[in-house]
Amino acid sequence: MKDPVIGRWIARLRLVPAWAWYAALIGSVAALPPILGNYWTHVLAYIGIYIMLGIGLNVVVGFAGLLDLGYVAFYAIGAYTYALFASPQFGIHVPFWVMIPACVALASLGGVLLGIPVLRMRGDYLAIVTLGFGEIIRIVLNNLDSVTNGPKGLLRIDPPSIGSFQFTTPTHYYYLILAGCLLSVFIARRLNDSRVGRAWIAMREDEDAASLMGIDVLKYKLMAFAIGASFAGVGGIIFAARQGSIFPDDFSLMVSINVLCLIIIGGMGSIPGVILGAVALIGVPEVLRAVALYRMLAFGALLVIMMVFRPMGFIPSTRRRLELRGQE
Amino acid sequence: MRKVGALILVVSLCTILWAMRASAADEWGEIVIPKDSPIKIGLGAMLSGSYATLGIDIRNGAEMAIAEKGTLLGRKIVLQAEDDQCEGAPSVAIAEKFCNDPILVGVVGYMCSGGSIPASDVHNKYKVVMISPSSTSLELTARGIPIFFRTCWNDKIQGKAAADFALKSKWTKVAVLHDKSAYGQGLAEEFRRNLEKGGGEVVAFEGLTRGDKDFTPVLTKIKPLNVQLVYFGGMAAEGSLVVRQMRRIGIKAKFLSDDGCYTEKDFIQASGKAAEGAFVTYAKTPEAAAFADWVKRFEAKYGPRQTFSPQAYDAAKILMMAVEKVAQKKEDGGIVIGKKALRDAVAATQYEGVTGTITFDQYGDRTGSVVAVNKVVCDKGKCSFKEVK
Amino acid sequence: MSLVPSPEVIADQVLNGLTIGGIYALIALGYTLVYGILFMINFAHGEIFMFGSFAGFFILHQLVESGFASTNLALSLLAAFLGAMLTSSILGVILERAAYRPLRKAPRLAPLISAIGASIFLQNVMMLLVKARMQIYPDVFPEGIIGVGPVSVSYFQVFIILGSVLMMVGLYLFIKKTRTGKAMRAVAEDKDTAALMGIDVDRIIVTTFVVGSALAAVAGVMVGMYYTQINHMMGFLPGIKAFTAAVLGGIGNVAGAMLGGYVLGLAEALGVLVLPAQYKDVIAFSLLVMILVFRPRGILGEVVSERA
Repeated sequence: MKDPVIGRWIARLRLVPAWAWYAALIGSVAALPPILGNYWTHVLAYIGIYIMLGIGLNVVVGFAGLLDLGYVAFYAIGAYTYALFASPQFGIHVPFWVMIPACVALASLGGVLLGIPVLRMRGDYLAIVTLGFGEIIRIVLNNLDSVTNGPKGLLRIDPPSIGSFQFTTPTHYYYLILAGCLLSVFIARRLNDSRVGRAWIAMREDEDAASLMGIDVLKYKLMAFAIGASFAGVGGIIFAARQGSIFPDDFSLMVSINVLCLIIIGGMGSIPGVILGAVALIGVPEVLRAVALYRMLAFGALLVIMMVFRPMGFIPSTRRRLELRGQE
Repeated sequence: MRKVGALILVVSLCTILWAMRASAADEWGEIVIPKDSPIKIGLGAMLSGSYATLGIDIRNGAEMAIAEKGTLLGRKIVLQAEDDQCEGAPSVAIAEKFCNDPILVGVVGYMCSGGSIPASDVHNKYKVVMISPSSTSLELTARGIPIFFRTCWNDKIQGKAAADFALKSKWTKVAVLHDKSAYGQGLAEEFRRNLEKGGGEVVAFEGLTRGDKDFTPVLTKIKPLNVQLVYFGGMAAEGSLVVRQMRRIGIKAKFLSDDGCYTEKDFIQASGKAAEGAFVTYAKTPEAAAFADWVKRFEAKYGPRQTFSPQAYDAAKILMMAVEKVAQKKEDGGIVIGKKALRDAVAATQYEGVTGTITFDQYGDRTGSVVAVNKVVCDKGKCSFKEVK
Repeated sequence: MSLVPSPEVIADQVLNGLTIGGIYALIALGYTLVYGILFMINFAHGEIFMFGSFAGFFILHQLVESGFASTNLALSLLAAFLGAMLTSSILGVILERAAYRPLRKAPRLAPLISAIGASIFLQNVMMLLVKARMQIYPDVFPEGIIGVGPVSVSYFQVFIILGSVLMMVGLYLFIKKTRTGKAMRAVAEDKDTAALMGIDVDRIIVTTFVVGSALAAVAGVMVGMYYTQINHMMGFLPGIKAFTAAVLGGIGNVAGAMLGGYVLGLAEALGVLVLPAQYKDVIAFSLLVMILVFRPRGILGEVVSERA
């Protein structure tokens, strides 16, 4: 039954080292913009930002098992920090590349500050409190007119530049975001395989047992929050630079829910899952603007259906699949 | 095998570099409509959600202009309407879509200032003309963006008109509320500035949360101030609640608001009995018979007009006229439209629209647009807006 | 802006607070009852409230159009309330069956995510049904103000305050006196023992959803009548605030939910006197964060047993 010719080809393909596959994949993704044109490049770049956000939230929800519904707050911190220091608002124009570590640091700090009071709570309370936190941030941003310009938003945000070259077209941002995604994936994988990652898994399975084994549960939870937040911080600064203007309404609860949906549906804890989720949940509605009205309806239904029938998501990480199967 | 991998990497890098070179955008460039292709006009407005009444009204206005025109340069005209949700991020996405559409010549939009502002930056990148029928924020014409125009007034004019009316009516003790949006708050601030300049006193300046329903706390807070007038900067959804709750808790002050409340359905109907006697600013009704005639035609097709359909109609008309003026036919049957030429043609518009004479100043603002105050007058249970002379 | 508010203003705000507080309390009861039995936050409870409001609107609208309401106001209102309660209860039952029951044994995160999904789904169902346009409740309730000394109360406020108190008293009696009520308390305390004693746990769970949803529906119709504007998103914010109220009073604790509702309502109404009005929502969210950080048991203490 097994065709020996195909069998031989499969054997040959298996010999291709993993990194060659990755190079090919990255190369083809990188080659897309001139083929797709500006609009689709813009859409793909937007998906890319959500991939970074998804990977970040994945650290919090998927790796550490904490349901953070206020994730958008860190996104906002990253975006507003950059915008305040790189626009006519205060007349300061710090370069983009200098601001990246600043935004990451501030977002992480936000993660820690949120984490400290909140991490002792049970799962469902944690979710609601983080939701509340996210909303508080948005309301404050909307009302602190003297700093954030309130609902009128921050405009004419500086684009990134290298020497005299400025990032202006969708293609430029596409590559910036692609680099960001690759970096995010790299960091996430390293985390997964590290001591921290293993501690998270232990915590997720059984918190009491983990702490009995000497894992400082609180410290690792805080790390999850902080690291997850830093991804959002980077996403935020890129978003602000790319859009050129930001408003408090850009940071509503919907963003948190979108990111949550995409990792749940794509596959919690798995990076290909996050990518699939982002493409499906962000890209498809953009493509089918006509059915945008039905998008949230489908999201909602999908969340319920996924939880009932396939809680590990479409492309779960192997670990997750084993975990959740084991539960039955 | 390593060599294959290395080769792929090198090819990828070369592609990236080549792509970056090729992506240098042309400054103004041209729009080329191939033979037999329709000409597309874009429209951005809120088509679903709290202010959808206004958005759909705008779309209807533009639709009517296009339907009446029939064909443009012998080509079919397609109106592509997109839902901008009255927000920044969707407007930007739609703007990218429109500006990269090869057969799209210009956009009627966007509806809300909050959307138009970031979208105008995108349009400026690609030099695609946009004419907004309803975005009144001053920011839009204060930044030297050449491709932005509007057939409506701006908030400076509207705020001043409202303040002048208040001063004339001797309402000098005023409470100001706004919906904390780019539009509502900006307008409220303009009103306050003008009122205080004229000697009036703003004793309260409070923001409301859009989407909230309960304004009795803030209204109770200002009730003891015994103001003569409550000015509200914002949209009908909140405005109708404010005026209703004002009357319910016994605030006798007059109510004055902006074009966001100039809508029969979402304000007059939604406010019930409380709407009577409310004042709203809006464009001065053109004296020309053309307007009354237009209203008849519009309402026959789409039902009662809401707010910005006349402005959207005029915007679409102006765009089409400009295209006609500068388009050049090619031998192969295609049409070429220079983007700069198109923009200049729009800027040079001198047009008797249904909303009056339209010309634009060097910033894109409509010159000579006049705002009037309208009062809700009820006759045997039927209420409507009547202009106050 | 203003200085020390006068006693009349404070009294007026207290009334405002009691009015909205009663509504929060009614919705909070639904959260607390469900949490007491299932240990999960019914995230979609706000949408049950919303659906109740729309059902009431639909009924009332029809009755007004047909002219029935002008001659039989009380009956029409009753029909609206009952219809809303029926609709919400059915919805609650469906919700329990479809989104929660299959996940009883699943890890904690799963029913919560499912609840979020259900919430989003229901919001969008309604959005599509009404084409995202807001609806206006017919103006049938008589408007008027009663002056009680320096304080002025509107007929509406009286209606809502009394109505919500009535419902709460009814619930309290139901839980304390009836067999089903007692069974509900038993299940909340210890599910397994209750089952051993012959109580049909599943049926009691469904009953809990029915009762909670019915209360939310009453709140929904009241809100619809009072504020007249209803839209598909109207459940979101009140839902979160009602949950805050439930936690404030002590989750699982029926009296706590009622107390929490009034405390939150008063905090908002009086808070507006001190803060700029646009920060009103921050009050609720901040209270939520603070309570969960400093006193997660709530004012009157939780009533939840250990998860069996």
